[in-house]
Amino acid sequence: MYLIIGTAIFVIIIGVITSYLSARFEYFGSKFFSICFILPLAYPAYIFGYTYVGFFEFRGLLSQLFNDTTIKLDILNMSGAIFIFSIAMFPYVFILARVSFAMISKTVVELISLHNLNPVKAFFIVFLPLSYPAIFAGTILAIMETLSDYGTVLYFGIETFSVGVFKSWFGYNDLGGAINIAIVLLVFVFFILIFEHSVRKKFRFSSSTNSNEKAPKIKLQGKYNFFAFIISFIISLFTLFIPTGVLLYWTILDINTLDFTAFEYLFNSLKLNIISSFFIISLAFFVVYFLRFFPTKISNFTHKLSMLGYSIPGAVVAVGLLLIANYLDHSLGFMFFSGSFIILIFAYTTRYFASSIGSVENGFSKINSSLDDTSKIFCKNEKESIFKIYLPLLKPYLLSGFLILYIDIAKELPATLILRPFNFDTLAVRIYELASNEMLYKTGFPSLILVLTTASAVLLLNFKTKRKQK
Amino acid sequence: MIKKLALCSLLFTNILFANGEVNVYSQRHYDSDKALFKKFEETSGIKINLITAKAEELVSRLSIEGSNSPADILITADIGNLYEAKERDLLQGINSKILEENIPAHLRDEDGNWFAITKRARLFVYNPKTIDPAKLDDYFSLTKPEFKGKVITRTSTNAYNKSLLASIIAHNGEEKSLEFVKGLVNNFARAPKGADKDQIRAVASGEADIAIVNSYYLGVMANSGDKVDEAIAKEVKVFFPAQKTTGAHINISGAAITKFAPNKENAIKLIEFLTSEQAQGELAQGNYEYPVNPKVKPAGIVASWGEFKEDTIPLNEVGKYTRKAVEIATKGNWK
Repeated sequence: MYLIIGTAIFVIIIGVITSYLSARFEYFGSKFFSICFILPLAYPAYIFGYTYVGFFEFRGLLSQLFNDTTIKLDILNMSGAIFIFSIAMFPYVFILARVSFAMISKTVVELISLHNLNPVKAFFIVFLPLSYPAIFAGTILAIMETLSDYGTVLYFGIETFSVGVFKSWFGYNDLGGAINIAIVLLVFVFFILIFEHSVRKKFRFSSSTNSNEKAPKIKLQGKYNFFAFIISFIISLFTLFIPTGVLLYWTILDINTLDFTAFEYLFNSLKLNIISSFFIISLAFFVVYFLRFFPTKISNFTHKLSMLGYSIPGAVVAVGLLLIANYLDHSLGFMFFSGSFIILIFAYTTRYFASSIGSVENGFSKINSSLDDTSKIFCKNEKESIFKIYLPLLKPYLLSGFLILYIDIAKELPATLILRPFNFDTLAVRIYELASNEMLYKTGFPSLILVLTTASAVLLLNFKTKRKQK
Repeated sequence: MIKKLALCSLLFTNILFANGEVNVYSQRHYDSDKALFKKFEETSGIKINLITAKAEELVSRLSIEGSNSPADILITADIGNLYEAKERDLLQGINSKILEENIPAHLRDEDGNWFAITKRARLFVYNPKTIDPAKLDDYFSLTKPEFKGKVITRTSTNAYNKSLLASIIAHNGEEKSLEFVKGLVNNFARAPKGADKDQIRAVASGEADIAIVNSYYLGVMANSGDKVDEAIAKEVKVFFPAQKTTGAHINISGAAITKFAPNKENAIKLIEFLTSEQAQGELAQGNYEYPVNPKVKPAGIVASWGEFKEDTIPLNEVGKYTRKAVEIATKGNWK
């Protein structure tokens, strides 16, 4: 619980500062930093954990840099875990809040100057409430990711719901107890989601105020310019530069025995991720499409229900699916689902369907409903209206949904570990193997490759959203 | 599409490996294992299909898959999970003259349900500047008041600690074991966290003075290629506990044939290979574990720690108390 609250607080603080800076101001390096703020999304939380332990530990990188063996900081505790999750998860808030800050119209800004509000007051009275839903949505994503984490909390020795599920399941062989804890977790998450829904309803501000002209960015000068730069630099230092530096250092340390089979794992990861992401985003498209034309009362409820999948630990999803696959195989009379890619892709769908539904829904909500009627008149059938009208219109949203899925799946570990077919190792699995053998510095190279591939997806995503805003 | 590709690749590999295949679920994820598997494939013509994951998850997977399971061999890095698999009727007993010759009796199941392939000693690593080894004795000696605030180890959920506590229960009964846990917790220098190497590092840093760790981590650290780790490994010393009494607690990595193994004959061949002198030598050199085959010597650094008396209590006795160990650790507040 401390972990969740602590992470939520820091994620909001860092996320709001960075998004406000990046959306409202121009200062030295502001373009560069808005990319830096989004890149931590490319790092799985466990890699942040490893790199920071390597950085701060006894005779770690920090003490080597200063040539002083007394420098060490023990981060294997609650505060350390909150730190790790905060830097790994804040981009969720950053991405959503930045769009919302940037969308604030010129009229609002003019009103602020009319009332003679100073920037700090204006931020708290006007900007923050206007962006509240976006900040909240980002925080929810961050919390759910934190709740479902298993590897990082285990290494940090912190007891969370996930650890509880595993302890009673595998430690006491008590499936019933594990299910009870999992149910408590789900109820908890469900309440967060309901709460989020009601908060969003209450705060449904519209910032458009008839004027579609967006407020221009403010150019910072002098000490303000310097101040904004320093804040951005410090945040990026901890969320990006240090972990990347540690990975680079480890790779150099390992340069003579570099294991190039990492590229083989990369190929496996790419293949699996692209196929799964494509499948999930297509599924999301059809689900939302049919809900739009054939709406039912339960659709909202099922949507919330699908969000739950996001918070279930990957290993719990995996073992649940093993049960289902085995039942199906028994009815078939031969092995088909167990140990196949189908079941692995299904696990990813359970875990990440929520996020893809979100981006597709977002896209559909931008399409005027009058178009639906038009399409009914002019298109011969569903197929034509889907391919000629909706798919082209939704392309940017589907692509960003695809990229988000790609990033999430590339980082996923527990379900992949349990469900993957024979002889099929991904980069994440390889990193786990090396790390659990306590060969931390050898994880440098594969981690770097993993982060590079997800980072390119993140940059592509950033590029897409930027263009969408224009 | 994937299915077709998988089928094609299966056909292709079947031509390469005319002698069939063997499917392995393994908790061990060392590169030395992978190298050995490759060697086995080359010499026997049998293809190895491998999945690695956590032992508990693999046992769960086996149990869910039941007679559908493709797995032939289960390999774990600890006795607790092997025992659990045997208890849940997921394994089958086999007879092999070769295995009986290669592995001493206390390191294999009396019904042939599991066989050790490597050994690890759960020993003390201490800082020679602050600890006089003459004051150390068996595991209970860590509960002495003079070691207050000096001892560390991982969490009790860790399989190695679970098995250690289980062996203490097997020797001393539940009541004394709870006393041990309470005394140990009372002497902790910090709350349990991190992995074995983190404990060794904490001893070198002065945060603690004695740690309970597995022998091979120190060997790996001393030969890791990372200068800092290698220096740290030189600053600490090894102490084998319980030399006057039961002997140091021994845990194993072990292999077992699953109950419904579709490629049983190949599976037996693989386990026999893993315990052969050649493979044992490579396991000992590659991962600094103790070989189970008495004809094979441990790696240089491991041998330099000297010979020691090991606990020869049947490991099934240890496995039997694993669940009890979780209970007692929780009761004694060992996180």
